Amino acid sequence: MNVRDLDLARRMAAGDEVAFDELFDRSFPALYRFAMARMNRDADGAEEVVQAALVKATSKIATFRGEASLLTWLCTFCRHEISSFYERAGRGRPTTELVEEVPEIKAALESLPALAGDDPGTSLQRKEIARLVHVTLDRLPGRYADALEWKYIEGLPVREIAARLALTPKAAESLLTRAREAFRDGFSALQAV
Amino acid sequence: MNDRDRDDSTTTTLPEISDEKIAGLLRLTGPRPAVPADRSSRVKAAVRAHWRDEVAGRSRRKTLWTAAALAAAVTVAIALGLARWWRPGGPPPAAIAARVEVGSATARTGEAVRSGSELKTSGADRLAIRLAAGHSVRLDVDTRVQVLSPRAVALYEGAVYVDSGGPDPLHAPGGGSIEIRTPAGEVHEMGTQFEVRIIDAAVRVRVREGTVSMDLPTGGLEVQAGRELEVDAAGRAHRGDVPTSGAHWEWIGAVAPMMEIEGRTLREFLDWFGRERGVEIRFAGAEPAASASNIRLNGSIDGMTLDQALESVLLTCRMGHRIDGNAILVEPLAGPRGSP
Repeated sequence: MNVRDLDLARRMAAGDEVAFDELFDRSFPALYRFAMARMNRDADGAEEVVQAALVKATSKIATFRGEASLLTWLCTFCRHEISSFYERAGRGRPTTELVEEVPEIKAALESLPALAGDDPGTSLQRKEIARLVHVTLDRLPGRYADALEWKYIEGLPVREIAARLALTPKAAESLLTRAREAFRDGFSALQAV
Repeated sequence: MNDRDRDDSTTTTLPEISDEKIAGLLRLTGPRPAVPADRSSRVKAAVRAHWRDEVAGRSRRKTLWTAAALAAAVTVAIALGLARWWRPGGPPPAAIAARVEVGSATARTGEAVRSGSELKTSGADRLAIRLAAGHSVRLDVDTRVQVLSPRAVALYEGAVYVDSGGPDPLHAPGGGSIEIRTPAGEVHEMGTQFEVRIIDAAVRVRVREGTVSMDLPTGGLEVQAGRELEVDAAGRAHRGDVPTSGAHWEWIGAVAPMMEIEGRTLREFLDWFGRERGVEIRFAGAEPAASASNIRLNGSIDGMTLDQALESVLLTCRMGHRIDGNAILVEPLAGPRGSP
């Protein structure tokens, strides 16, 4: 049960503007990337389907039960809107093969931990790995993904991350630990596809 | 490991992916692609507007339920039907969903209409917009709509007329069919011209060309050209005939965006006029028909009514016209050439 997501959905259903901002700010970038990856990088199309998905999801927010995460729930709307988008246009959906959805590519995924080391692998693999890492980050709860990016990509010290999150340095360290664990779990789950 | 890394207290090492490998993986792949701020803010505004309406709609529905408890069961059923539709949760796609073609007191010609925008006309003005999908949508007086997307419009009050451009590939829009959402159901066009009007609690669909389908809670119904379908508040459907031209459609011409005739042939102009008026264009012989395809027009008909435009254009081409039933007969003018 995703208690935090369920609480967010309930607050949104009750008309809480802060909850709306939180849900949108948290989910829109992930949904947009989700749609872009499935629509041949069609930015206008992605904007259209994500808006449609969010509109429909907000209409049904009171039915969210928290069995899956809110983002997973929203992605089902997004998937449906992508299909409708191509049906309306009289075109078939692009046959984008996404690693996390195609079991045949599982073998390539098994090399991911090794590729994370010194051997960067081929550029195609790296692109796919990058996308998978980003998918994993998008699925992390709360500010975990931001914290990991600040730490490992921007190279910020923990005290700076703590300041950005309005936490004590110790609490920020703890959050980073949990973020790494969540990332590890999420990424492992993708590998297990 | 640099100084900054030493600030971190890495405590857990699992066999599959170590903390160091997580760090390496993140550095290797870089940050997640940023989402353009303008897209984010546009979508947020549209979704927020819809969400606020939803929340307000739920409050209204609660009130409706309280009142319905005192009413007969049939009233409850109607209220539920309305509540189901109340604010359509439709897909509002691209940023700019339409542009105003013929403005009014509240919307300027050329103005962009974004997804989720509401448009209203008063008792004294009408409005024409062109959806980004290519369809012309005209709003009659006292009409209120919400442009949900380049392919969907919700009609709350009054009447809209839709021209999809017809089967001619030169005029057909590229974005597929569109739908008009009403309290009674959704109306889908299939290469058509049609009107959807809310009359009290009923919704009436009149088709001038082609076919439309209407999705009702009880199933889909098709309406062919020259026919009308009225769905009353109880969801009952009534069918009837309607002429495809004449007084019923008069208001459409009053808000028709004028064709840009510069460089176009007389034939193209006449085809456009015929489509706007819902009449067939005929020629009094092969010669005027051939001339119509060869004559190229200059100037502009902006500011004219449809009939004034027809008179003026034909006159400059030394032609006139007669009304012949549901057709306009175009014929050469007798006598010496007059000055246009």
